[in-house]
Amino acid sequence: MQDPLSLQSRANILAALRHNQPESSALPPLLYFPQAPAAELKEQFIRIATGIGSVVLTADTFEGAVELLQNTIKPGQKVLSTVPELSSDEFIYPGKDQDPHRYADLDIAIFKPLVAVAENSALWITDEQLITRALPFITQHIYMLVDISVLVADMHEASRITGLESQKYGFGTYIAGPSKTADIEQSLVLGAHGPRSMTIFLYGSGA
Amino acid sequence: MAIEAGKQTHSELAGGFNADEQRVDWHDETLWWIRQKRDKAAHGIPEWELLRETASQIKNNVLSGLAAYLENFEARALENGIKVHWAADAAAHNQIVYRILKEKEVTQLVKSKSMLTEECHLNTFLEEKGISVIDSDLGERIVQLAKEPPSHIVLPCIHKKKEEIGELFHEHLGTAAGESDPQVLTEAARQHLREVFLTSKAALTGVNFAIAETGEFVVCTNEGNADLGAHLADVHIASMGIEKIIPERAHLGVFLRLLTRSATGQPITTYSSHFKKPAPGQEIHLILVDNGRTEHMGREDFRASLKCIRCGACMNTCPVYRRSGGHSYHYTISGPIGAILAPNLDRKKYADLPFASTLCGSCSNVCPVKIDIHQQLYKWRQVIVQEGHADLAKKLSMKGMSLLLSSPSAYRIAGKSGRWLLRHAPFAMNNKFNPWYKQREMPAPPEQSFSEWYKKMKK
Repeated sequence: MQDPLSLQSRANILAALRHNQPESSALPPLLYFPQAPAAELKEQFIRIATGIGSVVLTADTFEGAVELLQNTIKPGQKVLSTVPELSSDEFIYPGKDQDPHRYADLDIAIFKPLVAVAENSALWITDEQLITRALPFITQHIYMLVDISVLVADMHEASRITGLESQKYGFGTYIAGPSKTADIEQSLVLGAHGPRSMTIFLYGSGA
Repeated sequence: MAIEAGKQTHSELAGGFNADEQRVDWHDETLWWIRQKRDKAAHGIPEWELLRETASQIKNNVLSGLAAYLENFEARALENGIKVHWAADAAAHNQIVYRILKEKEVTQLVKSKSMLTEECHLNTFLEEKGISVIDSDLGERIVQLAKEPPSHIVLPCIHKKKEEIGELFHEHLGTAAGESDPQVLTEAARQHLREVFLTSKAALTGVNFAIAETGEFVVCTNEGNADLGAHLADVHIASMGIEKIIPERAHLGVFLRLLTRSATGQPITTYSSHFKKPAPGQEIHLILVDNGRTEHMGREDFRASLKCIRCGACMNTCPVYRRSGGHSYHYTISGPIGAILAPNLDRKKYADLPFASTLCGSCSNVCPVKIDIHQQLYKWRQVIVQEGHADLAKKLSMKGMSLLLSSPSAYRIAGKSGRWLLRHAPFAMNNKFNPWYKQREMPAPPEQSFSEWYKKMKK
């Protein structure tokens, strides 16, 4: 804020706004909708995730999900896990390097989202878990280990939880499906700049 | 219309677009299909109208307290380690970007979608200074290679056929001649832009929402290009119009539910990234830009357009936009919302845009923040005519019509002679001087007027 031009602009903008902005208008009440039963949320989450190009596999337990996950990895694929339970040699390519450029040839990155949203299948992850912020974007494929207990109905509930004091982050993102574009004649292509696929391993009692 | 010399009006430019009827039909159908996807997504949410009303009220509150919200946002962002800059206009914005890049000795900037930098003409400015700018959104990259502006705020190359894109890629990215498969072309762009992401020291993104309560800002993309650019660079510059503020983090849910459903019918964008603090070793610069917005705030009839969240729903539904193409609006933001934003900046240059509408109101009906778009179009027309920016033909015909409509006998005579002319000398009406006949077949004139028929029936 040392730049005098910027300071001058700041003063002018704020003064002009105070002069021109309308009379105070009250904020509406925060929205909250009753959360549907877990089974319904799960059905909705899977339907929407599949609809936007994700693959969803279900297991009763975390161990079961890990088994499913291991079965989908092909020999020779470079895999990096950010999940503490998955830290054996096969999950730490190329080591836990902070320089994001090192991950340019990564095949699979694995994450454990903190919140999953049924209405749009968005999964919330933050840099508290990420080794480096570019990881979920630079990897060719993304794997998500989702505990069914983090599933909520909608973005109102998700915003509430991700905004709690206990949720510290410098960077956080909702990810819904593989990266995609329809910029060429509205033909949907998966794998625009980020991951070409997303596989969700949904686990927990009732999953 | 009173347009700068050498500049064509919306109707002239639309005339060019309309020369290719098949293309117009294709453009029209593509956008209508997106509108239908929007409807399907909206109808799937029982509380949709409550969401719209809530979003509208939140934005009304933002406008009424914007100065304080900006101060609060700035204070929180500074606490979080973000460097905040204020720009009075486009030139100031561009200078700030240039100064940051120069200080870091950056010669290549990778940019994700930002209508604000289009508004500021940042690319040309930086290129003149020897800094190359690469747009990383696929659609924006395509129009950049074609040396064209985006024709739609969400779908920048919606006007282009895949064969034309194939030719561009063949020339610039070395794809095979004649290749037009979207899958293949997208893969070529992916490879080309990966290299750009990995080698750029600075990235610029737009901002969808900035939260006053926490000082964080949210960027939404489907491709992941904003994140790849920002996280791989040492310096992340985010440019935002001052109206992008929302008060509290809890409000974000409302807007993230509305934005993409309104835009493309998706339940949410693939990525909704929240930038709060810079990563270790990185810098985040945030530029708050006015460029006419504070003045706009003072226009009571028009300030509601500052509520816009740039979803593009009003374009997709607009019968005029769909059949005239985004470039016919000759302004960064096309369609109905562009037509009410542009006159704030220059009423003379954009005097034609509020007339590029049927006032059917479909834009207002789909707007997720309930901007009274069609009413503002109507009000702008009155301001523009009063200020003398309407063209002579429109002024004369309006005067003529007002004379005619205020005198019943003149009206009857005019109707009679008009019908007679159409029957006996159609060329007097159907000629190149009468724009109503452009690309239109007119119905046959009736034998008699309604009042003649009514009189006869009463006898």
